[in-house]
Amino acid sequence: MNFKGSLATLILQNLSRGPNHGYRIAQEIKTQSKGVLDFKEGTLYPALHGLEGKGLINSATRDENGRTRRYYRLTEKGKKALVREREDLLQFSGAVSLILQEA
Amino acid sequence: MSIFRKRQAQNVSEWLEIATEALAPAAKERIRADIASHYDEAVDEHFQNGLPMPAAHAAALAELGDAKIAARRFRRAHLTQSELWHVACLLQYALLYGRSGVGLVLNLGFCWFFWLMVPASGGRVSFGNILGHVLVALILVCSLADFILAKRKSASPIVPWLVLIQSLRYLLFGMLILTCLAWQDEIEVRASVPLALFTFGYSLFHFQLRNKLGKAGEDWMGESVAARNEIPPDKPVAS
Repeated sequence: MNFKGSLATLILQNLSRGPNHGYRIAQEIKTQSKGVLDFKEGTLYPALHGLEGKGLINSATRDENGRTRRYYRLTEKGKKALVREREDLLQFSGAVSLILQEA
Repeated sequence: MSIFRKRQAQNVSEWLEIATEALAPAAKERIRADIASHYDEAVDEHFQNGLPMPAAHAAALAELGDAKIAARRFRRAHLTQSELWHVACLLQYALLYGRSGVGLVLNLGFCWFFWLMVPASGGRVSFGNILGHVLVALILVCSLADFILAKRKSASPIVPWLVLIQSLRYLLFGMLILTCLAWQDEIEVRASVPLALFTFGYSLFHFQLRNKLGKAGEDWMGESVAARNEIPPDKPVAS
């Protein structure tokens, strides 16, 4: 399903539960949406880097089991942005649901 | 067979080559590390789920998606090689000409030239005349700000500001040309429409460059110095 524009919010939501690395973020979004929100994983990183550029998240590398992973973490600015974005998205999806249920 | 056939990545190295094409070295390095780590995790998981190794690699590559789409998105988030070169030029200009005052003299000369372009009032108060003078004054303020910034000891923090001032200056210059066009009928002024469009385009380029420079985690400052000395614009960097 195409969910262009909301990937950033989904990433922020995922990171609100704690620091996470790219691969796990992608898997968790797919799993939580029961496979409905399927996206190409190569597009996850431009979104992550864009959020980092805006200061909404930051990152640091960590060595685990002989593998270097970059963990992303939500910043204070990112937490505030998530509250706003989540409200907007819920309002939007609620409005669309109302219209579709009427049909 | 079409010569315009879409280039498809056959392995992760090719995928990375396409996705990071034209990007600055620091961005390439960062993306390569992120994607390589992601790809290794995906291959491991597919293999543990029972796929043979070649199929696990193919599945992980397919999950990355189209490298060209990723490349377009990466270029929005990271500096390209030519943008880096442009930043390096700005920095060099600030260090060589800005600090010595030569840049200020040149900018004052430009302001005088712009002032000559302002529509004549003809003895009456005209909106075009007032607007023209305000724009020239603002261009002068930008030039002075440029000079003051360049005098600072540490060059690193000034570059995003220099880029922002350049953006504003070109935007003001474009507006000045349009003001002249609106209040004068001279053919040579009308011929400068392409110049006005160019300055607006150049200004937009600087604004988006300013946004990219705000990016955390990239050593664009050190790179821009190296780029100015070693790498010509648009030359791909060997991986």
